[in-house]
Amino acid sequence: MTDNGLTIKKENIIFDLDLRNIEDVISELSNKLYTSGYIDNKKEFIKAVKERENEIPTSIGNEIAIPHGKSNSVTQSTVALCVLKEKIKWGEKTEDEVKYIFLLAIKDVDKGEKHLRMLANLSSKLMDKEFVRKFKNAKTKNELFKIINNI
Amino acid sequence: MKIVGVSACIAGLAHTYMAKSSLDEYAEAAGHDIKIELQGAMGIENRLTQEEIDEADIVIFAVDTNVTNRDRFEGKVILEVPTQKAMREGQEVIKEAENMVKEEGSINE
Repeated sequence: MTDNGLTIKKENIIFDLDLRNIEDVISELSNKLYTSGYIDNKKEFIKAVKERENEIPTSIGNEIAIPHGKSNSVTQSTVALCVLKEKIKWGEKTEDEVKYIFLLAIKDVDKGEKHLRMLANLSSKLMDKEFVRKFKNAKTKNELFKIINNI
Repeated sequence: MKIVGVSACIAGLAHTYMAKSSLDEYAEAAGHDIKIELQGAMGIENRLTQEEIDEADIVIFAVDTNVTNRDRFEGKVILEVPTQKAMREGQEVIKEAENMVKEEGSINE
């Protein structure tokens, strides 16, 4: 788990993911975070994400969703991203269809402001139409990696 | 017009920042001055001074949780919306704020 000041690490990006429901997507992204060492308890983290999702769906329009879990199973705040092969409806409570999913892992008590700052900056950028247009045009994982980290 | 406000969500990260970006964008596009205080996971950022609050024509709370130090806004015209609405319908929220200020003005005349 090295930290090169990147917003997102290449190993936490999944391109062309062929899954059709939210649970599978969240589970797959959580697997990534677990494997790369950002969370130490998958079950607990996923529970936090689902609880948040059940309050209000985290789709934000533009085919983007930002599910997030704030939990002490998070060892370092970070983000994982997947691009689905085909868009899916983001749950029962919304008509939104989603293709780009940023899963935010937020450490319960994070004193290292640096990582929270990255997530905050990323969130602000998701409101920037030009930035969104750019990353949606990415054709490969590598392109996506470069665009997101250029924040 | 002069807008001040507070943005705050439960996790204190994503929606807090997105709501601010959206309100800033549409307020500035409509030619208003805007300053939104962030009450999030990193504490209070872009803190409003009492003077800024006093001078504002309207206050927008884009919040899913309690506003810290809400008493600073006592007596002001306040528009309160969920962060989701500020994010997704930023333009409408600013319009609503404009209308509230107009109404307030006509009452005072």
